[in-house]
Amino acid sequence: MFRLKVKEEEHKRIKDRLNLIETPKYEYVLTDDKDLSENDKINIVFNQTDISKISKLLDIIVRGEDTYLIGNNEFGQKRVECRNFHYFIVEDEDVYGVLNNTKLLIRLKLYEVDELLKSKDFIRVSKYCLVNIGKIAYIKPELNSKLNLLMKNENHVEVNRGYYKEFKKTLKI
Amino acid sequence: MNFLISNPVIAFIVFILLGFVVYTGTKLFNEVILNKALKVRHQQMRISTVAKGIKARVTGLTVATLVPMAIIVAFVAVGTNTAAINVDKNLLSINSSSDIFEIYEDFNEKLNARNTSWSFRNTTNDMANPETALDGFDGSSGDYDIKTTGSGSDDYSETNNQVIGVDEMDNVLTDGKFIYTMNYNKIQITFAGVMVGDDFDASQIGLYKTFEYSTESCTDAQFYPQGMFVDEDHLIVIGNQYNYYCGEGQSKGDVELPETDKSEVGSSETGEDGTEPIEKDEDGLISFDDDVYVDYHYMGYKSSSIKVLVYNISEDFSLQDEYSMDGYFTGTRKIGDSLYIVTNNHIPFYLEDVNLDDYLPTYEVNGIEVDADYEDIVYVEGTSPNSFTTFYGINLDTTEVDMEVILGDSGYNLYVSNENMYLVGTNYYFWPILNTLVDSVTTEESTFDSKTAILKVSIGNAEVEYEAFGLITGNTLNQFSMDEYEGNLRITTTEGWWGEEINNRLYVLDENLKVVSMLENLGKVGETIKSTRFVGDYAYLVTFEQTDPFYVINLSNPENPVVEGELIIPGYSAYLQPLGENYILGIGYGDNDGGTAGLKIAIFDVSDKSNPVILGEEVIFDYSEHGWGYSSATYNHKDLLVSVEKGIIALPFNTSSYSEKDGYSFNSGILVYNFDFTNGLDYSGFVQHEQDSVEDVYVYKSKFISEYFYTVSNKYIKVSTLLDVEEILYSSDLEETVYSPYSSDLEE
Repeated sequence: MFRLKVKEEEHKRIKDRLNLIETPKYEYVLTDDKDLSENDKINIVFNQTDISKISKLLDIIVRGEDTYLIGNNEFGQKRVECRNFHYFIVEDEDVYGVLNNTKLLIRLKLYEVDELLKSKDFIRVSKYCLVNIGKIAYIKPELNSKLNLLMKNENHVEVNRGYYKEFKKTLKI
Repeated sequence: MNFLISNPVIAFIVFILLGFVVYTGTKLFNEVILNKALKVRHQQMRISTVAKGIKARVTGLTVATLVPMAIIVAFVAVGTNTAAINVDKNLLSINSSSDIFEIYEDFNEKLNARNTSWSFRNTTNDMANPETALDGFDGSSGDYDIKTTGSGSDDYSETNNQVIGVDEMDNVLTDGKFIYTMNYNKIQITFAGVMVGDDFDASQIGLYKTFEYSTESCTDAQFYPQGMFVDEDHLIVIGNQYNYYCGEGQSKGDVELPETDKSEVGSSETGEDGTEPIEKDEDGLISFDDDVYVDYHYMGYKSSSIKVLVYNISEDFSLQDEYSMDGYFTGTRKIGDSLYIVTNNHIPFYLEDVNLDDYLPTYEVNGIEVDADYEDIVYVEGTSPNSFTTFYGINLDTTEVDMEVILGDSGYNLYVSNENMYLVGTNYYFWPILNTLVDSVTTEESTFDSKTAILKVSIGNAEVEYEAFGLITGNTLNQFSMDEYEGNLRITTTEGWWGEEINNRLYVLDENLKVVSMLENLGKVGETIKSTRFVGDYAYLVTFEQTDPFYVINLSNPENPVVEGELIIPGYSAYLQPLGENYILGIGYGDNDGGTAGLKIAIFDVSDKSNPVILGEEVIFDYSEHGWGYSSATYNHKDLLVSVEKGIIALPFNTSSYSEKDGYSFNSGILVYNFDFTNGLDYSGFVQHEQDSVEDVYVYKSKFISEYFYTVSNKYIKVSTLLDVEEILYSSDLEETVYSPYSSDLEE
């Protein structure tokens, strides 16, 4: 997504401070020298004193727009930004969005949630489950080409065999 | 892999562990890859990931992978070590009987691949049967009223050994005071005389003691002495002990064989090492010749062992120690207080459900039995695994016994130096792994030529240890075909049987039995090696077909032996013995119109190595047209008495002649020559015990004590003097022994 173009001796330091991951294909060029900007890219020319601001800017760029979902639990209706959900799961034909300590009944079908959150780093791991990649704490391979996902709320979610390849593809393995 | 195949339980465990390792290893690999990718993805998403306990989990998985892997490695290492070839000694070691079966099956598989049938010879013996204990070794069965006080002479003739210091077993011995004779199942001790002042007094000669062993009973084991050693302290009697299958009082009938032997119905076979042929009829019964078998019928032995009886001379020949080794006798030597014995145990793989534990070499020391461990057995890969050859080292002082068991072809020709034993046999089958040991074989395929196989076992202080195995082309003639000198083994062989096929070779092998050099095509076309003797840097070699080329070969450069001298004479020498450095005594046959006959004694002067000459020779054709004459010294060097100091050569000579009036008459005696290095041979006399006897009074041995000359026959010991050997001064009777058709003669 990003390309950092600074002096070679400063490259690593600035990259670490920006918490930046460079990729071969990129849309954004980050540089402290306007002469290094590229015409067909989005160029962010910064002064090194503004690195922390740039870092926050990058957070916004990566997060994109906030997407809110409305759900209910025993305490009433809640409006929650999608990245707070660990995963969505179908139970008795109802879709629940699982948060850190609670889960919300979502008045949508799972495929509708999937469609809604397509660009938000969510991935289907089974017919009944949609997982937030950012909330996966650890991946344990199981027998029969299945994966057991330990979520950050310490719940376990299984990646079914049929979704295994897609899951790996998403992680770019 | 072979180790795992032969140990299915371990193989199963290894298999399970291996599966577990593969599973945990794959899991660990996947897990690391997936979580690494997840971490990168989180970084791209600008999310900080703090996975709790990830290190502990990876460590746990790593341990779970490595521990079983370590166990597998340990299993494989142990298995590999036990079956791995020790490159230095080309050995496969053995851990259990299944290893031996595996070796046997592997060997046969290779043979079958060559469309060669191979089977072990069936024998009547069954080593699995326990022996019957034999009593009565302690104490003589006959004592005689003879005063033996006083000390013997220090000047007496010892056994005519090949190597100085390495004593060979013999049937007549003296220690300067007694003469020990062996006669069928008896050891007889004759008082020869004692020193009176400065002179030796032989006048009181008389039989002092008799040990009679076998009891001619079917219930007891039968012991037959095969030879003796004597030193200052001990009389050592070595013999075979048999348990026979036998029946009593059925001379006109048949005796039923044990069940196990009925399989050989209708066959006639010869057992190993002297077992007589057994004729069986359709019912599995043994047929006997009526007039030979009167009381007992010995029908081959079911078990055999070698007994060593050590008698204490100072305590009036009381039995001090008794050793027993199962199997068959191959050879023995004694060096100081160390007694070395080689035995052979045939493994009857042809039997169904053969239990190798029953055939493992065992020995007993004063009734305490010790079995060989499988771990003690070594196998030279590629050799036929048909028997156990066991080398024993017995410390006669401490009764400690050391053993080295080798699985493989047994040998028959034993040469022993002061440091090593070399057992030589013929190997008919061997495999490419041995090719590196063979001078002329480079093929990758198995080889079926007969080769001479040499087993080298180091000895010292009654300890024995396998050293090396070697293969060379051709066959050895006898123990004199070999000699160890400055670490190298020199050995002569003859390959082929007829005409131009024959190739006589002399090899020099290094301490690992690798060929250093080889001389070949010795002798003329069609000649075979008839005798060899190595003396220091030189080898003396006789080849023969019609004439006797006597070769002098210079071995001072082991890498480049050269024929230095040659002498062609009629007849040939079957035995060569050095007389000092510059003379060689040859005992052999005279020329008889291109053939051989009679007895020929020659002294070769080899002081000029390039030009050997005859110093003196005697050829004897002392028999009639229909008779014969021969000397056992031509094939048994221990029957020859030679003393350079006393200038005497004595050897048995037997003739049989025939006349129409008297029929056959038999003459046996000791031929005696005096010699010196100026005049050569000078006939001294022919000592007979009975002249023109109708029965065989076989005079077979001569000894001297001081100036007295003792000749030994199966009936008498007679005493004359070295100055006048024919004038008998004293005589002592030996108890006659009824000859048994089953007396075995396993002299080396």
